[in-house]
Amino acid sequence: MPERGSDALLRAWKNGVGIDEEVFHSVVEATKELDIQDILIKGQPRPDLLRASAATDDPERCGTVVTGLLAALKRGGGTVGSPVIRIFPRGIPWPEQFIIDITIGQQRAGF
Amino acid sequence: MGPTGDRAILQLHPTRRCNLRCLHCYSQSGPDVSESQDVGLLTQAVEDAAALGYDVAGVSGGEPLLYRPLPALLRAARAAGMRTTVTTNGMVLTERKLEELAGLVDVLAISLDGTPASHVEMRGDANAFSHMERWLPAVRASGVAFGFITTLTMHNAHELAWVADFAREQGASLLQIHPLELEGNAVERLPSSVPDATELAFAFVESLRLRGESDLAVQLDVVRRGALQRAPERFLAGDEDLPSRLGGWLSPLVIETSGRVVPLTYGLDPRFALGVLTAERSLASLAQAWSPAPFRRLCRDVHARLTAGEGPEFVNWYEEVARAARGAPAVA
Repeated sequence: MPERGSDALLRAWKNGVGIDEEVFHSVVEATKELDIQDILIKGQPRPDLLRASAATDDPERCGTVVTGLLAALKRGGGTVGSPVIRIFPRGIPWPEQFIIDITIGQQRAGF
Repeated sequence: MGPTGDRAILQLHPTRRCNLRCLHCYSQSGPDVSESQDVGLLTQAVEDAAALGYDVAGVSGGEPLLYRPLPALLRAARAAGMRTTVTTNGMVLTERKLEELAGLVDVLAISLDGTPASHVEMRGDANAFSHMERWLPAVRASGVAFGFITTLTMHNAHELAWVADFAREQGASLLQIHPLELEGNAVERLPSSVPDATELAFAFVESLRLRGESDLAVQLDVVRRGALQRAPERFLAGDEDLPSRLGGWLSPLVIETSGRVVPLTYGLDPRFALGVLTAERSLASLAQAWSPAPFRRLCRDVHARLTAGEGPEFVNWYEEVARAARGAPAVA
């Protein structure tokens, strides 16, 4: 059975470059209008890990956020680690909500 | 006005002759298919369509560049005050062809189905991409506005970014993404490749992302449930009185190679057709004699199903209507 295009697309969205502080703040800015369900920031004095989970029932907004995120990540020089963006459409049989899960920074044990 | 917005589009398929035999071809065109339509009949239909309010003539096929009287057909459309588009696989877009089309085409739509490997597989010809790409500099030099049209399947949403990048690099102004429909060759050759609601949703998000990256206009032929609910009249499902001219409410209107005239999409069940063009039966007379009630009832039924309860968030309206038409009870 050939792979779904959406599965390959999710993998492509996960690929990215590292971030710097400017990018970090851009990411926070890009997600500010979302319903943030869970957010974790670690790293002192400089944050080097962010994980946020946000939900939206508006695919258009989801697209805007992904665009903003990818633009921000493109701008970044890449020092902290690889960002991961996951988008989970929820709803059976039709997607009614999109969960955007963003992880930026180094993966840590116990995270 | 229908799902095509403010434009009233007349689609013409003057020939089923084609240099390719694509897996997804809705008209089952190919090198061994000779069916073509008389240009005199079509030019008369174009003039009638303009009088009915149609303002865009879109020529497809088959490969329209293999239809010798294409310039005459386009000239007639222009003379009738219509904008013109031609959809081609791009493999025979020679300088000579471009010279013939100079001043007659407003937008050239070139088919591109994913990455070169995917395109070649879909088109069934190892040269399908390279020969199309070879003529793109000449297209650019001609000054004709051009875009790419790509078929969304169950398996290629991740290739949209590549297609958009390629379109931008080549100087295209438009990328149209059209979901595969279970029509023609696709029935037997791609039965599991029609994108489902999940793929349409991802394509929707991806198209928004691509739209934000540059000035390339990205159009996805998918309707959201909210749009269906908010504007039923756009989908011919309202109760309002119809404008007197056909072009005021029905678009696209399709003339198949056989001369059959159908609403909305190629291959729509003939029971909903306006009829078949002949020397004695012009488009004007077919339009006058046609009762749109069964077709409108079909649209209303589809609309009601899609907007009720747990209907899908994303819809290919053309595919939904065509599928419902195939299973519809006898037209009264």
